[in-house]
Amino acid sequence: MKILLTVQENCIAPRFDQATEIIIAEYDGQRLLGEPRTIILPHRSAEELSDLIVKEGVECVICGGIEESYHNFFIWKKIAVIDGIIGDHADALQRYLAGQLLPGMVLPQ
Amino acid sequence: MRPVKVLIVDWETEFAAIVANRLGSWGYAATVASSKEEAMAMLAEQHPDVIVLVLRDKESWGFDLVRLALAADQPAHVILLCGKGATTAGMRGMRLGAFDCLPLPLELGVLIDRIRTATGFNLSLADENGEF
Repeated sequence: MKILLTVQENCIAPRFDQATEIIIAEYDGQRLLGEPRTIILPHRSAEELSDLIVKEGVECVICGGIEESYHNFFIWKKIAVIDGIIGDHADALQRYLAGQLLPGMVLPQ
Repeated sequence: MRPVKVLIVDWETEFAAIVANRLGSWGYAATVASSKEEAMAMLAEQHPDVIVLVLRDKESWGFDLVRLALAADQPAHVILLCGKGATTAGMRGMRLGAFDCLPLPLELGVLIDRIRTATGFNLSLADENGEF
């Protein structure tokens, strides 16, 4: 399955619509398949980011704050959303893989 | 010996700065130009090995830069990044001799692969005196 993290600098982007980069990791349920891909967005846009998420076939989005309309859209598209995450994106991914990432989690520095 | 020099040209400075930052973390000496004038000046002063030129629309000034980069004493490899509606411009750039044309959003791993291919898989190159 594909997991997508919205990124700003080296952290989870505080707001979904303000993400400047995304990281897409592929996961077989036990381990990552290859290196996660970094994609730099040409500009900040929640709409274009949502299109990309759907086109890529992402199954789980890990993000910071997200507008309710986009959250509902992803749920409708059967894409899981773990939102309200604050902290380093690599740490967030590791916790997700360990089954320990919960919405609203603040990751230690 | 010096790191491969990459000049990123885009009037959207935030995008260019992020690309430069990420390339920097991979060992490249990346700089940013946000206008035609600045890009021309940096081309003359810095002699970049690779120019990453963002084409966001049908503006034609980028083609002057491609021509100049390829005609220089030490020609730079030009990699075009094409945004929405700039595919035709990308095709024109390729006809002028650009090394490759990549779509936006930019997959960083693909850009690094193209830079490595353009520069012969070196992360460092001989300096201006030909010394390693």
